[in-house]
Amino acid sequence: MENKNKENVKEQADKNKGHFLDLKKPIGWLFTYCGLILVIYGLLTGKELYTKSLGININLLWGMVILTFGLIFLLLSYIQKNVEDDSH
Amino acid sequence: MPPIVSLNFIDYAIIGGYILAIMLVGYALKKYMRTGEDFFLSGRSLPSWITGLAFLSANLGALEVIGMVANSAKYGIATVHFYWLGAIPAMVFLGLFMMPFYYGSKVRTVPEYLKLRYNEATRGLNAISFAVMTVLMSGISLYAMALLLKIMLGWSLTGSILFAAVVVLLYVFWGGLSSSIYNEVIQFFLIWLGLLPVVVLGLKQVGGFAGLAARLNDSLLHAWKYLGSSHNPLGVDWAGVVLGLGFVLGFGYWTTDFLVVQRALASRDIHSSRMTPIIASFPKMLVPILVVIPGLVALLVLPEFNGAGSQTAEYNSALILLMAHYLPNGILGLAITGLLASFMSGMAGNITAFNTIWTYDIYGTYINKGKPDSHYLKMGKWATVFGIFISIGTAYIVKSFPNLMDYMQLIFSFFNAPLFATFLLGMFWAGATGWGGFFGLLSGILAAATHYLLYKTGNIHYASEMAANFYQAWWAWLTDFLVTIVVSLFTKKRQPEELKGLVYSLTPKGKDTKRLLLRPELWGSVALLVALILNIIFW
Repeated sequence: MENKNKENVKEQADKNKGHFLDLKKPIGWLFTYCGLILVIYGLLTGKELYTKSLGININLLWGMVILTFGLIFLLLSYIQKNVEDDSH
Repeated sequence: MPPIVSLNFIDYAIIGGYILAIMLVGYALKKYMRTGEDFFLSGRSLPSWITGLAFLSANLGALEVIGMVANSAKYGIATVHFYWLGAIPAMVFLGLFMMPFYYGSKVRTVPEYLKLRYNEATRGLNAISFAVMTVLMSGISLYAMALLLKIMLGWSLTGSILFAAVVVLLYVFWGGLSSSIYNEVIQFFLIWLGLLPVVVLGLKQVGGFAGLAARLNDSLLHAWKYLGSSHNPLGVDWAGVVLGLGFVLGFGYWTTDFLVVQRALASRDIHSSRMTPIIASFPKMLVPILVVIPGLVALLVLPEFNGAGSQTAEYNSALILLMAHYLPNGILGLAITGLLASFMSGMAGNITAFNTIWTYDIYGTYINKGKPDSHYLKMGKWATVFGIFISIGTAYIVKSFPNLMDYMQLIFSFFNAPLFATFLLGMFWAGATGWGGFFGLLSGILAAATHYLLYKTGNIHYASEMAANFYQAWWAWLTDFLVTIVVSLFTKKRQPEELKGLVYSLTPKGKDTKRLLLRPELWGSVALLVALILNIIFW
């Protein structure tokens, strides 16, 4: 709710047509979710699943990359929410 | 035939998460859709990183990715020409020289620019052919997706078609172009993160670039070295590549196709709109990592391609087979989600381009003029619904006649190739007249069709199908260019005041007040330089 009010204020202050949604947030949540699933699945699965991927536990490794990616986007959107965008 | 891979609950959890995410984004956008501009052009409010990634993504559909991996397996490194030659210069040109006219003249669509610059007939020709094209393309992409899911996962054709259609329908109906653009940005990251493991694992297994270089035929490892004659895997010489692909097809697609230009029009100001294609050009240069390397790896690793197996190679299946070869459940779900996302956003992109052209250039121009904005907003939503229905219909027609897919794509190429000549003359030569534009465009389309007939009946010969394509584009362009000039010399010119803001020489140059580091001129030059260096490295 607070977020929404802030956006309205920003819209008026900008006189600009207002950027609809902060896309960083859904991107952040989606990849955090995917990353977490892959990391957990990677931790729970044994070697036999990874013969295809040349013996590398690709779910765990790549899951961590994706998780980091998602968290960076969430962090960016958090920072932007707090520091007013000064691009204008 | 049993499916190539089987998914488990982890894969489904990832696919489900993605579907849920885009539905929520679409639903959240619903309340912002108050005017026609909100729905059709995202209220011209988006920042350039979003429009830039969407600009690229609108073209990075699954058909494109699968097709380019196949090209790489067939033609090798020469596939980079579709990127470093066929896209980057055109994208930079659009940003530096054409966006000021598209965005500055406040047109809402590409055909609308043609109306202002030339005449109603030119707009009609372009609007109607484009609307038909997009809605059929959306059906083709729907069918291709369903077929892929059937072969790969054993999903039912009808189930996939209806499911994808309903998802796309809902989120476009709710959020219009914004939904489509936001989904394209999500897809951009998904396709990279989903397919990079295939690239990395593939490279590791063949021993890196050195391994590829040591084991593949030299003709597959160079972009330019073998283009002196048409005796190379591509079957085209350098002139065909530069004129056909680099000049006509590249510029024709990236600078006049409303599907991509619409993304730049959604930017929040003229500066962002110019930066849109230039920002897009940087990740575009990297796409060969995602498509060329897997194609080359497939040649060495897959029994279907390296001659060890008994099966014959079907190049279009290269990417799918590699995914099945390297990816275990989990990461496999992510890669499938990436493909699914790019199919759906490809369809959504076509549908949003269709509903805009339909509402503004066809319905609002010829059928029901001068209604209030809210009427057109409603029309846009209904156009989304019947656009989706036509797509489903097309998907089923293509299902019964698979060859139709090739024919349709072929017919579309007749319309696309000459258009760039019409725009080039329109924007940079004040002397081009309305009827000059119309007859130029019409004869360009006819030239492409005639060339095709002559080629198919054996009256013209080329070393390969690709060469025929490239040269056909070139001749269609040249015909349009010459006919427009000749007809213009004999028809009545417009007053210079009427062309202000539409033609380069008659438009006062606005000063870009941004700091040098933010200027499109700087980044456009950097993009061209990097592309040049890449061409030299992979010579």
